[in-house]
Amino acid sequence: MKKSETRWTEDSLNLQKMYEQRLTPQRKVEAFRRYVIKLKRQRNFGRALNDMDDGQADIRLFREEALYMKGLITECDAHVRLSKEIRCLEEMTDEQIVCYYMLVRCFQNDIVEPSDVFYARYYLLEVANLIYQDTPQEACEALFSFWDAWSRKGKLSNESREYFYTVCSLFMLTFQELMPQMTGRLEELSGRDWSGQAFEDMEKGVYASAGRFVMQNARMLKENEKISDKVHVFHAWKALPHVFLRLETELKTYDFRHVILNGFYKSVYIGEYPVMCGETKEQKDVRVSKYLCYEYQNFSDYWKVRYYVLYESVQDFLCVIYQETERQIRRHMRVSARKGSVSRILDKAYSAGAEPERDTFRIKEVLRDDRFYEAVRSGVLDYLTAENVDLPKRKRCAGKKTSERDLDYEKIDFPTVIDREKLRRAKEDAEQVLAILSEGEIAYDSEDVSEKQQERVSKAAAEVTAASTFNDIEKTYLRYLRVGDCAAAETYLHTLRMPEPVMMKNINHKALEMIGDLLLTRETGSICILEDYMGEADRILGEIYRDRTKGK
Amino acid sequence: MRIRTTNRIFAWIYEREEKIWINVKCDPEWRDMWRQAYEAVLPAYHMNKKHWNSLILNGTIPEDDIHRMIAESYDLCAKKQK
Repeated sequence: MKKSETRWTEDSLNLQKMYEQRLTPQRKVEAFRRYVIKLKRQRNFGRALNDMDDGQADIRLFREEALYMKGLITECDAHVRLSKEIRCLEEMTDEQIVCYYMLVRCFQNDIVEPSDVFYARYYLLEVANLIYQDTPQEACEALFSFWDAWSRKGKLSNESREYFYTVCSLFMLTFQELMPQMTGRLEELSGRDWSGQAFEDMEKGVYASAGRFVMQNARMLKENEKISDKVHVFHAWKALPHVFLRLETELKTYDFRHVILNGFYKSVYIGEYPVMCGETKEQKDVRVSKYLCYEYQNFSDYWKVRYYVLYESVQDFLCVIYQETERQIRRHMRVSARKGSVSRILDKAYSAGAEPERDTFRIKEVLRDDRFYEAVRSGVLDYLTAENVDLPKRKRCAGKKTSERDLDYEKIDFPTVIDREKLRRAKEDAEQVLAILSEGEIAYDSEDVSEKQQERVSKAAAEVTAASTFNDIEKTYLRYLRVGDCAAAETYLHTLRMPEPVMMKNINHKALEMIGDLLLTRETGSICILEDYMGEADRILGEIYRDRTKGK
Repeated sequence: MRIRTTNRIFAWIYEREEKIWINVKCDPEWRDMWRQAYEAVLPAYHMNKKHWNSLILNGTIPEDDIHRMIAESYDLCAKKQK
């Protein structure tokens, strides 16, 4: 072989050109490797899946690479060393490749050491595709042995652990016959209720399971710092009966409503039960609300497992209803929305192929119906009205300054938690202020106004006046303007080192509050009092006289 | 809305109770006439009721009269002080 045939520069690397070269298989493999390395450097290989074009290009390249290598192996007598990665990719579908890179990317984000990344990639590929495992059972063993080996290296992050659980879920979806075995091991490993057995036990009144279930979920919540969600979860679940009532009345055309209702009452309403007492293992008769277990659990995780493991289509729909209800409750409480999207959860449920087509069709049909969302919303409103519960107070209410409030114009954004007493008082105040503002123009019929009302009006008037009283400097300035001595007014401000526009703005601002219009205007370069409000100006300046006599 | 030259406000436009309201200045002599003529003309909301009226744009006031009231408001505000 001539040397020139194998002398490759990076610039000359071209896939088409490479195919055309007459090279020995070994050289072709080497050339192909270089080509791939170059492309990987250029395009951040395998990580550009957000951009579909790049992702597709990467997938095509990998496939081509794998197939080409396979071809070389059959042609070549000599041993060509191929990475396991390439051998696996050769037999993967596009979806599997995308899935694989997504998995790898997640892992790369979660783990620290590069060697771990490599290790994880290798094993995940093996396990996810089972190409080099003879049976699923062996794959399952490989998965857990990988996990054992990895966890021995040190404490793993929660994200890595969650990721492992996700891989296990995927695996169980593929090989359902291994599900009982795997859920058992996962329960031992994680302490979670993978099989839903604890939940079933709880329904049957097995208190040990119930207590474990509650504690386990409380621990998960603590880990995820979801404690603050407790109240929202509590109210969301309490609102569900109202929501279901609404669904029953507003969606009568859907014949599955009884299925849902039955499923709901069966799975959601559990009897009140005593709980195992902590470490002493004594069964203590603690009266626990039937909602307790729901208050403390991470629903998305729990239901996710239910989707993957138990395949209960009714539960999918219940979860959607719960999520919608919770969303409404959150809206009322003015708290940020959860990150989990209902459609995403549903998609997962559908993609699992869990439910019969008929159920899927019905669920999708009802989700398309606007009445579904309307029923959820109405149900939540019903709950809020009926229960009159003490909801948490609105957040970020401390930022508003009371001095900036405009009782006339401001649409006061009341918190969701309505303090009816406060609301009543606020309404009374508003009426009083309106009455004061209209005083003089909308004449009061003194006979119609009771003494008590007059008292309140005068009291409120005094409060409003006090809030917008002119200070001595402003009054002195106004006095100069009132007598028409603009030069003296300017000199006065000059001695105070105060700019004219600032003083004008201050006075006009207060005048707007007091007399409902601007008091000062600028005419031919100098400031003067508006002719229409000379009387009001006199009244203001009259106060200065009264103030001084009081002082004396 | 302000007069460009003097920067004085001659109309306040706002939304209240899901309707558009306009506060306009008016001559005290004509003020009550407008208020009696149309139910949608009220003593000005939150402003001096002696010189200002509120128009509620609910379709009951003819457009010509609305234009006229706004124009009068403009004239009154643009008028020079004696």
